[in-house]
Amino acid sequence: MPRVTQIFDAYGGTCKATEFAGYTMPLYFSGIIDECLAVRNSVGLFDVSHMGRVEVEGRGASKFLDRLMTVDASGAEAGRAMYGFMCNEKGGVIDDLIAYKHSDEHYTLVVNCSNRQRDLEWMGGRARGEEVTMADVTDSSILLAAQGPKAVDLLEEFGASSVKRFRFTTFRYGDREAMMGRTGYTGEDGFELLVHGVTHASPEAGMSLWKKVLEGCVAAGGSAAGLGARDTLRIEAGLPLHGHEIGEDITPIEAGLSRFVDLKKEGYVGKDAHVRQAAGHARRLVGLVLSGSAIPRSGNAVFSDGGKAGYITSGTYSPTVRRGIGMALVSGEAASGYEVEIRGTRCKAEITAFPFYDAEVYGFRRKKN
Amino acid sequence: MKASKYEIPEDLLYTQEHEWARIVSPTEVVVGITDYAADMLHDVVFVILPAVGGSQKRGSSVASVESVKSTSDVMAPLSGEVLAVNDALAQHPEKVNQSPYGEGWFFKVRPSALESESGALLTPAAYADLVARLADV
Repeated sequence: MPRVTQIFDAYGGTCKATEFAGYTMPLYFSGIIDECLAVRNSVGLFDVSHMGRVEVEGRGASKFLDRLMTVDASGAEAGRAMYGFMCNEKGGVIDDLIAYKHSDEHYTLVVNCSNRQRDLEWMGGRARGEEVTMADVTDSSILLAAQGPKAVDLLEEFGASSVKRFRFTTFRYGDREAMMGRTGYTGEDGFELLVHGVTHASPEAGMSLWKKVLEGCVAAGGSAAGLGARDTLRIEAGLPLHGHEIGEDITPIEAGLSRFVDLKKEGYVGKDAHVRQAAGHARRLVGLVLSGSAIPRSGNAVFSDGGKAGYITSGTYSPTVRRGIGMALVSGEAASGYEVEIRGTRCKAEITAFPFYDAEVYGFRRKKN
Repeated sequence: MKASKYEIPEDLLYTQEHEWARIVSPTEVVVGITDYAADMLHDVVFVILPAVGGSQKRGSSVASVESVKSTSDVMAPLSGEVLAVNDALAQHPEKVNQSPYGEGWFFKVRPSALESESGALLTPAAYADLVARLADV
C-alpha cells in the first residue's frame, strides 16, 4: 500500500499522482511544461516530504560524517548546507545527500527517498562504537522546496534574502522548529524548508504552510509543481539522480562531480578509489543535445565512430531549450561526436557542457535584469 | 459518451491501444489517438507521422508520440495507404492534448480491407468499458 506525505491532502485533489519509491506523489498539477517554465521564470512549489531526513547528534558526529561522507564536515562552519556523497569502499555512491551543519555535534541529513533504509543500515553499521546517535525524522517533519528566481521574495518572511547559497537558517514556525536552506534540485535559486513536528496524525501546521506559501507562489505567477517537472528541471541543470548518473557502481569522479569530493581530507570510505580515479578514469558523464524531434530516453545506447560508447543515464524533452536532451555515461574519445540510438535509428547528438540552458539567462547564476 | 472524465465520441471506432478511426467513406478513414491516450501521455511535444503514399498493415507501428517523459507507438487501426498526414502537428503538437478528435488528428488512410478489418475494432460502448476499467485502477 503506497504511502503519502503528511500534507498530501492539502493538494491531492488538484494533481495527477504517480507512484514513486513507495509513495503516491504528485506527477504534475497543471502540466510538466508549465511547471518547468514557472520554476525557470518565477517560482514553483514542491512537496518533497518523501525525501529522507535523519538527525545525527553526539560528540562524535563530525568525525563520523568525515569518515562517512566525501565532504569535510568538521572543517565546515555551522550554518553550511553541504552537498556530498556517501560511498562504498569501491568509491561507488550509496547515496547523495545534503548535510546541514547546526554545530560540530548536530547535523540534519536529507537523503533520497528510495535509499533511506539502505542509508540507515549503512550508517548504523558504521556508527557502532562511535559517540553518535541517529534519528529518522522523516515521518515527523515535512520538506517543501520553493524554486525559481522569485523564491527569495516569496520566503522573505522567513528571512530568505539573508541566507546565502548552500547556507541555512533555523527559526520557529508557530511552535514548531523549522529550518530553511538555500538549496535545491532545479539549477535555480531557491530554498528547501523543513518543519519539524508534522505527523500524519497531526498534519495541520504543514498543510497550512503549504497553502500559505502556494498562495504567494500563485500570486507571483508561479504554481505548485510535481515530480515530472522536478526530474525535468534537474536534467536541464545537469544534476545527478542516484540510480542514473551515480550509483553503487558509478563514482562521483566518473560523473564529473569531483567538486563535491574532498580528496585532501583524511580517509573517508571510498577515498582510495577516488584518488586512483582522479588520476584517470575510463568512463565520464557528458551532456548530449539532440536535434529535430529526437528525444533520448534512459537506457538508449550511445555510439561514437569507434562503436558503442555508452548509454543514456537520463533523457527528456527540455521545455527550456525545446530540444531532446540527455546525460550519457561514455568511455573513450569521440572525435566526430556521438549518436544516440532511439527506437532503432541513430540520431546525431551534440556534446554540451552543463547546464543545458544558457546560464546567463536561467539558473541561479543568471545575470540579474 | 463519457467514461470517467474522458470523451468517447459515438461516431468513431476504437482500438485496444487507444487509437480512434473515423470512417468518412469507404475510401477515407481518419485516425488519431483518444482523449484517454492523450491524457495519459500528457504534454505531447512531438508527433512522428508516417509518409504519405506509404502502405500500412493493421496493428503495425506507424507513428509515434513523444511527450516530455515518454514515447509511445501509434498502431494502424486498419490496413491501407496513407492519403494525408496532419502537418499542423509539427508546429502545434499540443493540439493532440487540446483536441484529440479534431485538430489533433494524425493521418488519413485509404483502407484496403475495411469490411474484414473494421469488425475487429471496438464500438464506442466497448471502448468506454475499457477506459472505465483502466481509469478505475
